[in-house]
Amino acid sequence: MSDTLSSATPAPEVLEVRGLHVEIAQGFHKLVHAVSGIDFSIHRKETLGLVGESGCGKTTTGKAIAGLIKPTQGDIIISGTKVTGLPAKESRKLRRKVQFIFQDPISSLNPRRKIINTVMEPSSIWSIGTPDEQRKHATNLLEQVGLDPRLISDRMPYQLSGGQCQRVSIARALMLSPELLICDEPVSALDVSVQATILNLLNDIQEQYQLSMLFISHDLAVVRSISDRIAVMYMGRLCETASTVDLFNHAMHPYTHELLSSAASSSIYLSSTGTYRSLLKDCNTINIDDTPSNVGKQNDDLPIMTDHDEDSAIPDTDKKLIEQVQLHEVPSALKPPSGCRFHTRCPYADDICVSTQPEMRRHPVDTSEKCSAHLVACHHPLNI
Amino acid sequence: MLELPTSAPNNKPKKLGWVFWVSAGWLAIVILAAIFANLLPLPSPDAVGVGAPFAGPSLAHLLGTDELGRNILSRIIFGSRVSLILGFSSIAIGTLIGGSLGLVAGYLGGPFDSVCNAVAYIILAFPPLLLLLAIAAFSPATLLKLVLEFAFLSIAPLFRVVRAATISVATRDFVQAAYALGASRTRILLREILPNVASSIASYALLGVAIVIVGEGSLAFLGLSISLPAPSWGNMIAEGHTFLSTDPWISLFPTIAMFSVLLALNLIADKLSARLDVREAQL
Repeated sequence: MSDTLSSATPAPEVLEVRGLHVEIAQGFHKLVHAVSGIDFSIHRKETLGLVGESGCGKTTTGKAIAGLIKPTQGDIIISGTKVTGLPAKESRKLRRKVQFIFQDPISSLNPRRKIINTVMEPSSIWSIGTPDEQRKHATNLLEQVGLDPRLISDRMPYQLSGGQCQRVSIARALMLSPELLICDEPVSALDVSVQATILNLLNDIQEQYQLSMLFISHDLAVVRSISDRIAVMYMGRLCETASTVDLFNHAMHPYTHELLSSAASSSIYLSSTGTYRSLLKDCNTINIDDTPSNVGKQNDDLPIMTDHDEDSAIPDTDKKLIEQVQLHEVPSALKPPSGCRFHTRCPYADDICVSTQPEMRRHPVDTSEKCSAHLVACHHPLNI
Repeated sequence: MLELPTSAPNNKPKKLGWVFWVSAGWLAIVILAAIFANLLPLPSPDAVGVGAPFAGPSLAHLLGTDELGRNILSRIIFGSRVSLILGFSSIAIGTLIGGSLGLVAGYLGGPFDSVCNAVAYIILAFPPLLLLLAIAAFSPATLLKLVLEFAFLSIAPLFRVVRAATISVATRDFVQAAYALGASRTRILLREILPNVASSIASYALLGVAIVIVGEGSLAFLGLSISLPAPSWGNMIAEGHTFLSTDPWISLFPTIAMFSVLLALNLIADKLSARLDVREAQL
């Protein structure tokens, strides 16, 4: 997926975020600096992964783009139209182009509405077509997301599994033919085997509908498998954006290193993108053929479990740093650190990091196409 | 890649159980008797001396007669009109006003919510009996006045309950999802939030009816219920309690009537909320 973009001419931007700030009042005097000035854009048909630890402002960013949270500063531009500052009615129309998939699939469906009505709701809100046409469209979409409309239509959300609910919310989001789909940890509440099928579904849907996606997650393996480009976020700011391959092979920001290394030490996931995709395929077969004996057998056979060759994604020299880095606690978002926000945890930090905020800039060595430029906000980038 | 349902189809609604149906049946009988009281073969509730005073239960007077020789059964049935009209209509008014304020305040939040909430606290802090005594000091109690008094008193508690239920629903993802789809606030309030708080509103309202019926009984002891000699359960119990040691049935039978209706209301509210609550229905 990532190589298709680098050869093509840059498509028009579906989303541009400029200097986005979101501050949330907590009590009378406290102000949580959830997002403090981030810029990025998403191209047509591109999937941008947004990663970072919990509390770094990923979800807030996504919700601000979808209009669910009001940004305190900055511009959000959807397909060339500035959404921020528009009157409520106008922005309501533009919101149709951006749809949101929530983390908790069951809670994102109205518990008192039949599935078919939930999927029809968007076109009923906008009075698109007659009820019969709406129903037909909704039935088609349910089929497309891998559900059997005859079995599912008249059910209530509590009668479905998490994975099925997530499929329903994907179908609902597709009703309005959006241009941008914001997925906020769409699989983190699901079983691993179901995760893979949902990720595959998102991939298929994206190709079919030519969607752009903002994929928010803390799970590097998941983000890696689905994203063309990845943006790493720390305490309300972006640290690094790069194509998926670049980021995993030549991470420049110390925080990105920390993320990659903690993923390496905690799971089987650190293998090449290709291998994870094969894991996804295996999981698909498991899910359909779900006799217990088969599940066990298939899992044992996964090549990925014994594959340690790719463990060297992190240079050996940096491995000792990992321990140092992990000693430090995350600072409070109520009072973010000066300069580079990562300096309290960064092993390379010096005076300039404490005093000056690093700008996102393209590294001189970087030779990639403009649309997948490798940007990093660090005074002392690694891997040069 | 069809993902098959994990459990067997379970579309049948959970059964309400015999407790619910017995309670609902009893309440229906009481309500029907109150509506068609005039058609029943009973002496007038106000007719004095239809039997000997202080006569115990007999075939002529199923539940006996009181100190003035009035038929107790007839007075209970005609008196139920007061309790039922008072209970249901005052709570209906209170739910309409308090409930809609609670919905809007809970969903919108902000200054409107703060003001409503503050007013509700003030009303709740005011002793209700003082209010009733103050009003009664000016003019004798009529049914309409009692309905309005109880309606006013029920607004604040119902507001609080509905507001709390609304807040817990309004923060859930499906409300945000509706907003992201472009639904207007009114639509979200009516189609996403209201169906999800309706069951708790209904069960609290039924409990409210029970509380108002008890309230009428308490007022009767203070002479603040509707003016005598009109029958009401509260009035009958209050009048009869003087003869409790010699002729207990005079206040016993209206007490049983009130108790059974209260029990039925509570059980109906309980079973309904269990049936309508999605999370419980799932189990």
